[in-house]
Amino acid sequence: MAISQGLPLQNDDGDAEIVARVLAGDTAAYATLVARYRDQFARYATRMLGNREDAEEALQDAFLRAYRSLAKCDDPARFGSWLFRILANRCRTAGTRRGRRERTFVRDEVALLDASEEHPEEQTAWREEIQRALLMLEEDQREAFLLKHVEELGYEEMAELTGVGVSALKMRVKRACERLRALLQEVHR
Amino acid sequence: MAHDDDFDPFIAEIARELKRPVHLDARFDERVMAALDPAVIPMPARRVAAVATARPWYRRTVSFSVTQVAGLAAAAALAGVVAMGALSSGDGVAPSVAAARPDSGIVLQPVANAAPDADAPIMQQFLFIAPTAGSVSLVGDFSDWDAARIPMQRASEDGAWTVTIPLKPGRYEYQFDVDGKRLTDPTRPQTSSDFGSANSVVTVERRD
Repeated sequence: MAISQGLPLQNDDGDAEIVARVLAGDTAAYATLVARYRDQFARYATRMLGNREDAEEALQDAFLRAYRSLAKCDDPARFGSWLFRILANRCRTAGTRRGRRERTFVRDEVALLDASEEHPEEQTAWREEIQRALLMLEEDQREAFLLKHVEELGYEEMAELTGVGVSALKMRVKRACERLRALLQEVHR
Repeated sequence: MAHDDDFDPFIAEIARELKRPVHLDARFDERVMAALDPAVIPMPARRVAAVATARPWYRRTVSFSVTQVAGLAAAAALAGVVAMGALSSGDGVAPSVAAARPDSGIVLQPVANAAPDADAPIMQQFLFIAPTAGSVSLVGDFSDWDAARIPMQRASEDGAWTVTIPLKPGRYEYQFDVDGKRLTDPTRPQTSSDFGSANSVVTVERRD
C-alpha cells in the first residue's frame, strides 16, 4: 500500500513489473503507469503552478523524461516516488520561468477546473482566493505546504523527495501557514 | 496524516479545498503515449554496452489506421503487429515502439538491432484496441489457433491490448480472439484460410 494517504509514492501493485515490461520493449505498458499516477500528480502540479495548462505541460514532460530515463530508476517498485521528484523539478523550473515572465493569476482558471461540480459563487470565490494566496507564497514554501497539508506526506518522506532537511521543511511549512493565514483570514470573515 | 500536534482548523479548511481532484484533458494519456520518442530506448544500463557494440541499428515504419471493427460497436479498434527486434542468446534487445498517435493514422516505429543468426526468432508485438473487451487473445498457426495459449495483456485504460512473442522468419496467419469472437487485423493483408474464413497475414523477415 501507499505509505501515505496522499501521493501514491510507493506502490506494491505491480509498478516494478510494469517497468520491467517497458524496459523489455512493451512500450504500451507505460500507459498503465501514466493512468496510475496522472490524477494525483496533476493535482499537485496544478496547485503548484496555478493553472491546468502549465500543470499538464509539466506533467507530460515529467512522464516523458521518466520514460527516457527508465533504466536509471533504481527502485522500480517506487516508480511513483521517482516520477514525483522529476515532476517537482519540472514544476520548479516552470515556476521560475513563469515568475520571470509574469506573476499573475488568471481568475477563472482554477475555478474552471471544478466546473463540473455545482457550488455556490461564494465557494468559488473562496477557492480562487486560496489559489491566489497559494501563488503568493515563496515557491519552496508552497511546495512544502502542498506536500504536508494537501498530499499528507510526513516530514521524512518530504525530505526524501525534496532533498531538504526536516527542520528546514518544518520552517517552510510554518511560514507558509502563517502567510496563508494572514492573506486569507480577512477574506474568510 | 498532516494534522498531528500542529493541527490548525483554518489551515485544514484551506487544505480541504486544495485536495479537491483536478481532472486533466481526457486525451492527456494519449498525448503522453504518442509523444514517447521511438528512437529512445529505456534500456537497462547493463545492456547498453553490449548493444553499443552490436551490429548497426535499423529502423522501419509500419503505418496503421484506426478502424471500426464489426461486432464491437463501441470499440474503435486498432490492431497491428510490429517487429520488435531479434533474440540472441537469450538476451534480447529492448526495442521501443511508439504508441498510437491520435487522429490521422497510427505510426508505430520499431527500433531494433539485427541478429547474428538469420534464423533466430524476432520479437513481434501485436496490438489491438478494444476498450469494451473482457479478454483478448492472439490466435494463429503459430499457436494451433488455441485462444488459451497467447492471452494478450490490457496495457492501458483506453483499451490497448498487447502481447509480444518471438517468431522465426516466415509467413504466419493470425486473428484476434475478442471475448470468444474471432476478428481479423484490419491493418494487415488478409487471405482465405484452409477453413474458408479470412485471416490476417504477417510476414516476419529480418531486415539488416
